Amino acid sequence: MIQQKPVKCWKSIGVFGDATCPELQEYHHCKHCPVYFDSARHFFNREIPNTFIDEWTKVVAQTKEEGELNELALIVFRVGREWFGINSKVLLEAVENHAPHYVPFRSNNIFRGLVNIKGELLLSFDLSTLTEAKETNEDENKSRMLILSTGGARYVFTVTEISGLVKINRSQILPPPVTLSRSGLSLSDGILVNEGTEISVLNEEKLAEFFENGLKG
Amino acid sequence: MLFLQFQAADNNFGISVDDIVEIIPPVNLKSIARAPAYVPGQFNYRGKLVPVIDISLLISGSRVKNLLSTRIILVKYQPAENREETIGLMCEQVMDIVEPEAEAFETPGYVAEQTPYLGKVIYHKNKIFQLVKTDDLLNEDLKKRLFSEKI
Repeated sequence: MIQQKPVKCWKSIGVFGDATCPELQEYHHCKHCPVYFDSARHFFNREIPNTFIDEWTKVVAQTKEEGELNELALIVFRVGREWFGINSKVLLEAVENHAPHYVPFRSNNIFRGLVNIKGELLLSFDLSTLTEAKETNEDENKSRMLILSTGGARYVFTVTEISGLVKINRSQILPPPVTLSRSGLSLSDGILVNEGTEISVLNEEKLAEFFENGLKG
Repeated sequence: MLFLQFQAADNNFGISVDDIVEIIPPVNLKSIARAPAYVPGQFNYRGKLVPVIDISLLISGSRVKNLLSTRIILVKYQPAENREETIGLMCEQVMDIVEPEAEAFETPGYVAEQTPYLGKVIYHKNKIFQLVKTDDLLNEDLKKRLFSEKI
């Protein structure tokens, strides 16, 4: 029983002493031995200071703060004029723009072709049909390719500009207006208003489905 | 099944972790006039008055010691159907959570009439401890008095 005063055997026959304790055969180190373990608990066999009790009385009288459990990090990018966000968990990499290699009878306005990313051929897609936005003549230097990995497959698509990462709470995502049924919104989980900009939060599964359909067509 | 292990008068007891809401260090209690000695008082638990039971006094007759290892275990309690309240159990040596084998449970050899809240006995790592059924901790009379307006 742990009420007894601890015998500091680890200092005499244990690993901190001459290591002759027979129990070491089984436990290898005193830190795994129940004797050592129980001795540590003597620390708690002391009277509680009153200040400690007072402090805790105050603490438990407070309501518990709700943690931000519903956090989501979005990578925000622009295609044409519209801003989109996607869960950063599915983002593998953002790379310089590469011209896709046309695949005869396969390439269309969604699936653009194959692209060589660091020696690996990946499928490249275009989101601009989604936004129905005409490509504006802007600074080409801002254009990047994003590589997504979802459902075991990887997809590359071109974006006009990457804004960066935004950390949000899922409750901040507002449902899309019911009167709007544009194809872009059908892929989205909702709208996020961030610093005055409306960001359509894309659902990675629906986006992957959109890409897969592009492959078939 | 996981059990929180504690001591009352040097004997080991356990509570199923399913019932536990939170474990907190001892706090200042406001005593309840004319309540049994094993109900040392109540306190403000996150905006709610919660009565505290001295498990050590209830089981073994000796008051719980105010040690650094003493804790108040807040457990769910149902004084009546569809009513969920919280009670605090003050215990010593609240240190370990154990997961005994299913075959380690044994029926106690003797059940006193006064202790309907004591359940099965468990052997675990050379220690014997007995389960405490929190639902049966308060007798009908005390239950009525503590949660009177809510029943």
